[in-house]
Amino acid sequence: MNKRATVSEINAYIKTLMDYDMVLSDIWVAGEISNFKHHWSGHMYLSLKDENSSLKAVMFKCANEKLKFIPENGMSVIARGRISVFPRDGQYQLYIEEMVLNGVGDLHVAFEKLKEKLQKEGLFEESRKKKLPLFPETVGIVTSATGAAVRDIINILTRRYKGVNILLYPASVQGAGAEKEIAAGVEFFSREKCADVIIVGRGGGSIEDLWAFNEEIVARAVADCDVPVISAVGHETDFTICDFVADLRAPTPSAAAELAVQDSKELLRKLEFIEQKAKKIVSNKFKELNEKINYCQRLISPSKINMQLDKMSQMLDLSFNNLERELKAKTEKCEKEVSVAAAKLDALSPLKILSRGYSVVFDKDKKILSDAEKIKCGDEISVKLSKGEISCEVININN
Amino acid sequence: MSKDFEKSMAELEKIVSEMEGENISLDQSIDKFEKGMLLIKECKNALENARGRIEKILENGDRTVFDDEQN
Repeated sequence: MNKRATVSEINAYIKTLMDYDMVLSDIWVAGEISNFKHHWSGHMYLSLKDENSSLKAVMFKCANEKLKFIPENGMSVIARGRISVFPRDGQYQLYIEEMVLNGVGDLHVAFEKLKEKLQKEGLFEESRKKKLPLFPETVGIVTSATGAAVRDIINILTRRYKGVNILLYPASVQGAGAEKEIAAGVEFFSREKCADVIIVGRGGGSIEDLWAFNEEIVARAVADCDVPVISAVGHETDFTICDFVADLRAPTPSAAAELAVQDSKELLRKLEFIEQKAKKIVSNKFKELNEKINYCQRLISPSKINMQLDKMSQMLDLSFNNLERELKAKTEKCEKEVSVAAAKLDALSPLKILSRGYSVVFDKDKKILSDAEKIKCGDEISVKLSKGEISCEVININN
Repeated sequence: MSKDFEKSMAELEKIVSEMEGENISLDQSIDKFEKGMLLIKECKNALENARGRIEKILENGDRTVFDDEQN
């Protein structure tokens, strides 16, 4: 007993002992609330007591926000949490994670047990969850035919899309045998394949009211269902086993209806958007081609063609002038040659000789006579003069 | 809504993305545009004019019209 420690050290040591204790790390404690105080910070301070004993407890804001009831002194509750030491005061206390009214305590234990069992089987695995159809033709509903839930679901389904078929499998959702009816409804849709998605659920109520959805038979039916299931039990704060095994959890029946079918107004807007987009693409295409045409048009514009024509016409003129000049030169040359030839010809012409006083003598056969031996006296001959012709008779021949 | 509607919507998205492509002729894009407009018309018609049945299952498995107002 020679060891000595400071107060801090001993409290810290005891805290370590308790924090390592398996039993104290997560435990349900039953008792009656006393000294309840809801501090302005949001945390709750209280004691749990029975006839003989009392246990200090604290429930922090983040935990007590999930409470389904407002704690009061004298209430019989069970609370779950860990027990540890508050070192400043050397005081051990229960740090409450969740707290329910006693009586439902047994249900909670059953809930936790089943949840753990199914979780171990892998029924909550994300990989098991089926995808919901984008555009279901028929929505199956398993719920009471007389509750507000079915009305909410049908209203919202038809408000979102009037073309949806709705098939209700009426089932009691509370009381004895409700779980069997709910399971039968899920099995019916799975077997008959007469719906593309199923909504299973009910409106809000006490934990006992919702209990059917925590039964194993419902959980199994939902897990085995071939059609995607949306679970919608109670309010947003209610979690059931059915929610965990379903392909999708909706916070309320109305929300389930919204998740099940797409809003036709939204789809119409989407279609409108696609239409505008398509129109824009086509008109842009036209614009683009138009610009191309304009560009080509500028390239082959009239002024350009005219310029080309002018140039060609100029060249043509030039060629024509050359041709003309050439032709003229040639013609002149020819004319000169002709006149020289004509002059030569003229000089040699017999007529020209006649004009100088010569005559040509023809015999009676009109052949030129150039030899006196060829004629006799008395032959008729003719003499061609420069002007006129005379007929003669040969009188004498001088050889 | 149905499988057909789903198919039409998928087809529409495909058509628009094809129209947005670079290597598409004017003829082809007009062709696709016309096809798309037809699909849009069909889809709009399905959304605006279709009326579904609201029924409940009877104990013998038959169906009957479910009239919510009675409840």
